[in-house]
Amino acid sequence: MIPSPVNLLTHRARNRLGFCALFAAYVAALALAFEHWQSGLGPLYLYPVSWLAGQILDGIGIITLLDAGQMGAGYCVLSMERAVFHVTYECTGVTALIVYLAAVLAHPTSASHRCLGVVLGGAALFAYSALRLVVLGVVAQLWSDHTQFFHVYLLVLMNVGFMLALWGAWARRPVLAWRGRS
Amino acid sequence: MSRPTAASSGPLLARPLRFLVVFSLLTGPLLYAWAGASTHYLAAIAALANAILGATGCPVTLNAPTGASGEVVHPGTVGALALFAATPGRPWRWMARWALVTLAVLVCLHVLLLVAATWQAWAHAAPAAGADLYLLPLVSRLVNGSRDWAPLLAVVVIWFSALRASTPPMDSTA
Repeated sequence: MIPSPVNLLTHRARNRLGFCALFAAYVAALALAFEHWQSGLGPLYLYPVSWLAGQILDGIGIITLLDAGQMGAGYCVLSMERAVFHVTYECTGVTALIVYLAAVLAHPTSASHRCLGVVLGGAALFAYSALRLVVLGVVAQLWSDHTQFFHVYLLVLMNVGFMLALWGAWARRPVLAWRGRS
Repeated sequence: MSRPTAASSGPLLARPLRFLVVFSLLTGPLLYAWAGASTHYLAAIAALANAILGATGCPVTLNAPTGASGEVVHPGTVGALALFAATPGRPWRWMARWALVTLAVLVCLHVLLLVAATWQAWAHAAPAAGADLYLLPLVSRLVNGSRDWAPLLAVVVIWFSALRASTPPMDSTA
C-alpha cells in the first residue's frame, strides 16, 4: 500500500498545516462575510465602539460630539475641540477582530471553549477598540504632532500585539491534535 | 475523516500578558528606528522590483524617494521583529530563525505587490502598449484586495506556525 503524503507527515506537522489552512480559510470567509454585510454592522459594531469612545473621552474631560449620520457611508464622526476623527471600520480594529476570530475557530479545541473565545475575545477586542480611539483622541488633543505616528503606525501594530496576546491567553488550555482515522 | 484528540503539549504562548508588555515596549522604539531605515529598505525593494519589471517587459522604472518624507514604509516589518522578540519561553535561536524567515517572506511579498501594482498602473495608463488586458481585472483585484491583508496574514501565519513547530512540553512551562 502506498502511503498518502498526509500520512508521511508527523502529527505535529499535520497539526500545524491543518491549523494554518483552516485559519486562512476562516480569514477569507470572514473577510468576505464582512464585505457582504458591512452596512448591517454599522449599528452593531461601528456605532457602539464610537459611542463608547466618545463617552470615555467626555468622561475624562475631552468634550466629544458623535455624528452617526454618515454610518451608511461606512464611518462615524467624532468631533473634539482640536481634532475631528472619521471613524471607519479599520479604525475600530475590524481586521484584528477577523484575524482573532479565524484563529479561535481554527484552533483544535472543544466547541464550548471556542464559543468562550468568540464571546469573551470579541468583547475584549470591542473594549480595546474603544480604548484605542480614546488614546488617539487624547494624543490628538494633547500632542497633535504625534497623531499620525500613533494612528497610522503604532496603534495599528498594537492591534496585532493585543489580538495575538488575547488569542494566546485563550489558547492556554491544552490543545487537541488533529489525528487521522486509524 | 480527521478528528481532534487530546495532546500533551504545553500552552502555545506562555505568559501572554508578558508578551503584550514586551511587544508594546519594543514596538515604539523599533518604529522610530525603522522610520530612518525604511527609506533604504524601499530603495532595495524598488531595485528588486525594477529587475523583475525589466525581465517581464514592463518599461517602467521605479525611483525610490531619496529625502525624508516623514512616512514609515512597511511598518509591519518591525512589528514582525517585535512579535518574535517578545514571544516568551523560546530560545534566541528560535527568535532569530523565525524572524529571518518572516523578513524573507515579507521582502518577497513587498516586491511582488510592488511589481503587480506597477503592472496594474502601467496597463491602465497605456492599454495599447502590450499589457495583457485579460489579466488586468484579476491582477487589480488581487493587488487591491491583498495590499493591506497579505503582509499581516503572512506574519501571523508564520508566527502561528513557529509556535506550533516548537511548543514546549507541558511540564517545562508549568
